[in-house]
Amino acid sequence: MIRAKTIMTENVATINENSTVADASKLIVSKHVSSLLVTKNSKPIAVVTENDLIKGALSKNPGKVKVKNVMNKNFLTVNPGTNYRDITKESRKGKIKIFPVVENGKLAGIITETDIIDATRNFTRFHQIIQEIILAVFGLVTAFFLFFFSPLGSALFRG
Amino acid sequence: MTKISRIMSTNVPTLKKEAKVSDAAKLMANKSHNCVVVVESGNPIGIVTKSDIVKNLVSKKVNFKGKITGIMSSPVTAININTKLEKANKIIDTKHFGQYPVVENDKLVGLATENNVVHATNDNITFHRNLQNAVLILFVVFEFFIFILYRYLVDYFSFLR
Repeated sequence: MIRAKTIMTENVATINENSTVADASKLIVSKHVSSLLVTKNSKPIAVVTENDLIKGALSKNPGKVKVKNVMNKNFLTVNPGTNYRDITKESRKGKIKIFPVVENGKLAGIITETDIIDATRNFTRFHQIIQEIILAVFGLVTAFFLFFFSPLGSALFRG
Repeated sequence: MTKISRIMSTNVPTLKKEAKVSDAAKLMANKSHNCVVVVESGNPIGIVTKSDIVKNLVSKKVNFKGKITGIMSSPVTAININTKLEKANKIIDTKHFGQYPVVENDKLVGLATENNVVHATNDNITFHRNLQNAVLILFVVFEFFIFILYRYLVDYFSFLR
């Protein structure tokens, strides 16, 4: 069972709601992320994505727009113990893409689409390998049985 | 094996190469698309993502009135419509892009995202795993009958002797 704790990114890019959109854009570019978490007293209150920043930049006074004017609430707080399947299911519904991980009221990490894609890919690979091992073991056992009951096998094993 | 045509989205936001950066920004901000494909007579020649636009807002090299060709990534890595899912996964593994235009005879017909491809592969694997396990269980039952119960079968059905 994969938990949120294993797939989350611990280094979260956060921003204050009173910062300007220009600052948020700079932070997004320098941290190489696609969204920022807006925090207040180290609690997530909203998210701001690239889309919101573009909207802010398209408005009439791009220099004066603040993060709190463009941020949205499309996020879902999860525990470190939340199952990976539940997060994937929610993400594939389409609306919510950002999952801050909160432990004992403190921000512990964040799960975004990139983390989910990576986890899904690793999960797929892991299952392929396991499946191949099962098939190999099964094939060997079957081959041994066939040999054991064959005339040559009976002569060798049972005299 | 699933082909890329089954998982691609056919609703692709496109712009001509004469378009401005603001056109791309408006197109992406209003709809939930992550990128805009720049086309020239049907052929995809470049791709502009949201992060391209944000990066240019910061660096201020190109403003909203600039041409879209100045910020687009070109040439694009297009995937043929008949590509199988496994092949698409390999392309994604080597290129590490988020979006890939899907082409048929060099004409743009759809857009495949990394997200779609990875999830579709996972679904495929899950389906195959279940199928394989069912076959394995049937096989175990079959072997059990043949190898373990053989002598009782021989005793019971006299014609086997």
